[in-house]
Amino acid sequence: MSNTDILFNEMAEAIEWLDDEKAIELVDAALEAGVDPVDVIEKGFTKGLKVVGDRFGDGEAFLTELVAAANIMEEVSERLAGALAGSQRKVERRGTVLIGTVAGDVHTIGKNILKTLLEVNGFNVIDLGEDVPTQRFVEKVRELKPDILGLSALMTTTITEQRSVIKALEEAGVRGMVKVMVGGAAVTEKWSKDIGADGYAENASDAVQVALSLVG
Amino acid sequence: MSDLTEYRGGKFSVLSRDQIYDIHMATLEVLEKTGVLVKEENALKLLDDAGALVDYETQRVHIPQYLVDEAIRKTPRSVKLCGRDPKNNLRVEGNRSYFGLGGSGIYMLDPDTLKRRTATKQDLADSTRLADSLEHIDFLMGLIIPQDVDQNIWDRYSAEVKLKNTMKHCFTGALGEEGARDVLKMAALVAGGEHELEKNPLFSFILCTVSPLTHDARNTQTAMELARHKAPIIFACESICGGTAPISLAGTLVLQNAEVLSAALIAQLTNPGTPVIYGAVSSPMDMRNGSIVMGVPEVALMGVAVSQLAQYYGIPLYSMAGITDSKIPDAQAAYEKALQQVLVGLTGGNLIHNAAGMLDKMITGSLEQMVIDNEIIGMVKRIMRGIEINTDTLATDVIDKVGPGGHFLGEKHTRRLYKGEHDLSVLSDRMTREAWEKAGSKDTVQRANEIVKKKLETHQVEPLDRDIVEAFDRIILEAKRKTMG
Repeated sequence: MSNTDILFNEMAEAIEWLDDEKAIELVDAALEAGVDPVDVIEKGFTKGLKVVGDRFGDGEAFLTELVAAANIMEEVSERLAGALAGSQRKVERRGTVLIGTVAGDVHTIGKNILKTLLEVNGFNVIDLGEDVPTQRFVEKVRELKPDILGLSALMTTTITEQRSVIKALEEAGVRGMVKVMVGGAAVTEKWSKDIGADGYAENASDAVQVALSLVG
Repeated sequence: MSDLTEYRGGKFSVLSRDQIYDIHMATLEVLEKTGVLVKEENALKLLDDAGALVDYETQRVHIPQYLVDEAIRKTPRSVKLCGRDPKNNLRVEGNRSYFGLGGSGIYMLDPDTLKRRTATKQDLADSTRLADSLEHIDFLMGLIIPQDVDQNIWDRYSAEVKLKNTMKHCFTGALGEEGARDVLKMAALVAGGEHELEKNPLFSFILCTVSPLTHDARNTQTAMELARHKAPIIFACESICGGTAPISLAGTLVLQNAEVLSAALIAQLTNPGTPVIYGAVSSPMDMRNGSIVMGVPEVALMGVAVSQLAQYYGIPLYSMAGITDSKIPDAQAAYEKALQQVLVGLTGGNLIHNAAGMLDKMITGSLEQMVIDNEIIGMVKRIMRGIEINTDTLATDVIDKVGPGGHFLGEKHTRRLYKGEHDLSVLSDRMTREAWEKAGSKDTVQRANEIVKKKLETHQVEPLDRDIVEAFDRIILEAKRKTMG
């Protein structure tokens, strides 16, 4: 095993053990040794993140650990930002998901859990936050051209906004550019079909599978 | 004023007096040091004028201790909540407990297939009338939010259905200032005027805080509008341990307390003496999958703890017991519900909501479950009554009369005290095996279903005057016109 391979293994382990200090140390060591930053992500840290994601899927890891792992990944990416920008290669992503809680709804936790799970599974996620006005979704779809738009609504009073967003996308002529997923406590499969969404899931884990199938 | 038997707690606790004080002091620290987010300009102004440290740009408010004391002092220690029939009135204070429906689900369970379906306005009417008929259900909230009406004004439809279908007090929702005004107008028509309604509130309004530590614009506006009418407001914190609240139960109790007391402060600054009801009904998150869990012992523990906290403050409480993660009326539903109900009841949580009718993390309503819950509550109430000790019940006279070797069957004493001393079930099977088989070997859910059918066939609620019903129609039509804009 080469020194670089040993370094990659240590990176994976740093995430598995949720050791953020060690992770940053390893990033610095890799940069000093001139290791390709894309390899640092893909061959190193992503492997560890996947292990935590799989353990979560098997009911062995807890959500709090998953979030911690994702946070370390974010720190690592920030540390690598300069080197990545200078690199010829790009980190491979499964797709881009634009996500937000609809207008009138200020609930965020479900959306945030999904965001973490999508990132762990290799998606690039752009979070518009909560209480997002309908037109902002439309503008951002046009501007960022995501593969998937995820609309979260917790309350029975706000799920109607999901329909408004889909209508607004149609009126703006950009509905065909993006797959729309809807979710949230009050959302049902029937509702998602009624409003013409492309995907629906009852919980965050299922939503990742739906997202994978939509970009697959 | 009320015919309801009094049921009092005060027989169980999980917190010592010192621990309650610790929670109180931690809450004061959070409110002063961390502060809360108030996303409503007029509320910020009120808090600023009263002496809170307000940053208008970030909308962050730091609340000094003396303002928290003011909020507690100005909140009435007792609230009278009324039904259309005064015999159903509730006196909410101290350690008096009442049990009520759970609610705001979006599905109903089909008792035959055990599948769920989307809830309708008819379901709300049926469930409300059934709850009206059940002896141990003291107050209602909408079992479900009807999904077949315009979702922008479901609050008006719910108010209409409730006023038509029960003589008991109801919790209800209001969507914004206009919703609050419409719903109050509807209730005032039934109460006989606005002034009458203020004296005899037929509705209390549930408003949720947004955890952690946020009061959003619409709910704050609604609260201020309700306060101007002195309508009873329940500020409910529904945080999630480990998600929107600390993972520790103590930390969750502190966070809830900070949210509810700061909401109460805004109401009291708007209109001193507004009947505010303390609501703290958080539940944990299952860290294995991120879902909320409800039928867990921690919910019972927190239910007891908030009952003690509210009693310490002397603020009427909206508590919770009887929630379950089970999808169908089964053994899990029964044990999860019973455990919470008996503990919160023995503590004396005031308005124990969600005590009846709900399954599946409060998403699905079930009429059969409501009948089963009515049975559990009846047993809990019997336990709460305890054992009466007096000359009559000590029964030395009748023991002497019967003497050694006789029996008590024919005694007047037996006939006179039997009903009061012993729980007479309507649902539970307490027959011999042979008798149970002869009656069709029915399980609990089947027997509950028979009771549901019979009650819905026979139970009538006194109809409202025609002009009131027509006025409801006009209010709803007008609200509809406005939303169509």
